[in-house]
Amino acid sequence: MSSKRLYNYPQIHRYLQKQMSPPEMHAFEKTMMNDPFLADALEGYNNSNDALNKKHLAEIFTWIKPARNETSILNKISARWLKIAAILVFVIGATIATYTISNQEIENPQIAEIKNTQPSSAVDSIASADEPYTEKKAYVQSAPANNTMAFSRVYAQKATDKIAPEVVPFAMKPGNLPVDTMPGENVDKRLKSEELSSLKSTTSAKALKNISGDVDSLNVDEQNKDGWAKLQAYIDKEVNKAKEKNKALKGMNVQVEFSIGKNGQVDDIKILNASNTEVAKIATGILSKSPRLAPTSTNARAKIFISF
Amino acid sequence: MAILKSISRSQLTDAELVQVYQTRQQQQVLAELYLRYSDVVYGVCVKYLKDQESAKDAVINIYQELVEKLKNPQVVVFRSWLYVVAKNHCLMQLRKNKQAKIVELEPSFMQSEDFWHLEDVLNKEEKLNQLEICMKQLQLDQMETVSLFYLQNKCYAQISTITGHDWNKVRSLIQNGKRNLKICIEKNVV
Repeated sequence: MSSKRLYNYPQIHRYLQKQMSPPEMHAFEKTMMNDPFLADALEGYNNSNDALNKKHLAEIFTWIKPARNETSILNKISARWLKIAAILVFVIGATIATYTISNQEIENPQIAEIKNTQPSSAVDSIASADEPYTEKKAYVQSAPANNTMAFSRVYAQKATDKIAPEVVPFAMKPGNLPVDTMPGENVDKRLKSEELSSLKSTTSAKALKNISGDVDSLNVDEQNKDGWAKLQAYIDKEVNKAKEKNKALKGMNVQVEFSIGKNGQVDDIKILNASNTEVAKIATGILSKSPRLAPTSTNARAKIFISF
Repeated sequence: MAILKSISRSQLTDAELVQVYQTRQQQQVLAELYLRYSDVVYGVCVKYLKDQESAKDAVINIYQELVEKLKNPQVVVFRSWLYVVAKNHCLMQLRKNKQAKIVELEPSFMQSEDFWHLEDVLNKEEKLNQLEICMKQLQLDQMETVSLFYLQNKCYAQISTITGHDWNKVRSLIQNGKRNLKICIEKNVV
């Protein structure tokens, strides 16, 4: 603003209406004495119709305002983008936080142990009647805590199916791989592929319980019934070898996701989490040389947790 | 960023806004600046044109004139400059209507922030004695009103009550007294 005190229509109007106090009037008059701009304006307003003045001033403001509001429009657009950006930052932050917390849970053996004490209830609670996923899940039952290898839930699903966002760790004994180690389960009781197809869209607790623990839902064991057991045995062996070579690997963990190709090969190996890059490389190497599972046409993917 | 610009723009001085306009020539900057004075310009136009409708049109026309005229880097004190532009616009308008001879104001006058500088004079210690002498040389009613206004800080209405002169007379006496004081002081200082 100008260094000179500004008088505009409201002050001029107050002065003409004698609504100012004597000191205010004196200050106004003193300014006016040195400011012919204000003196002329006062004279103009003094000899004019006040209602018409107000109407005209409003029209002038409306006429000039659009030019001034170009900035406001920019501000609104900018503010809108800022809001969107803030929402995005919040969503990304929340996602990262959730992911970190869930990974901490996986890596924390105490949590795994706690979950191991309630194996079937974990499955039951997840498999609620109203669960919206249509994916086929193969949940692995828990085992005592002296594991060298732990599997997370093994998701068997089509590539287009929705992936459940959370991972609950299940520790297992060596050799206790999904299909063959389910207590009281028999490989022969596995659901046939046709049955599984009919269950694709089924969401009942019973249906999910039937799938759980039955890796047949992966459709990989029809020809190679002990494929998963072999895979686990292979991984155990390789992990032990690696540990013997490098003792520093002990206590390290890797979470890996892979797909089972049409020829039954372990494919598209992704390291989801690893204690360090060395252990990640070792896990990738082990899995890439793993024995073939039965071929599958479902593009099944599995997540496993390898503990050294 | 635009928000920050907007916030800071509203706090910019006239001179800064003029500088921004001369650099970027953004209409919204000019609008921001002109809206500070548009109501005073309207009052001036009403005074000269003696018609409120014509005054309203004049205010809008002056704004359009400023779009080009304000690009002139000579503009320093916007308020004084705007007054002269507005006054000249109105006088030109009258000349068009009446074909009367109008003399436009000098550009040097356009750049002057204060027009009579009396406040500065009063504030200078060395000139106080001269002021006292010159005050005594004023006519009695001029001396009385000037004294009441400048020394006792009375407003026109109060002076009118004290002296019995009407508002316009008081104003006129103060204006004339102030002018005579200025002449007297300048004459004696030189």
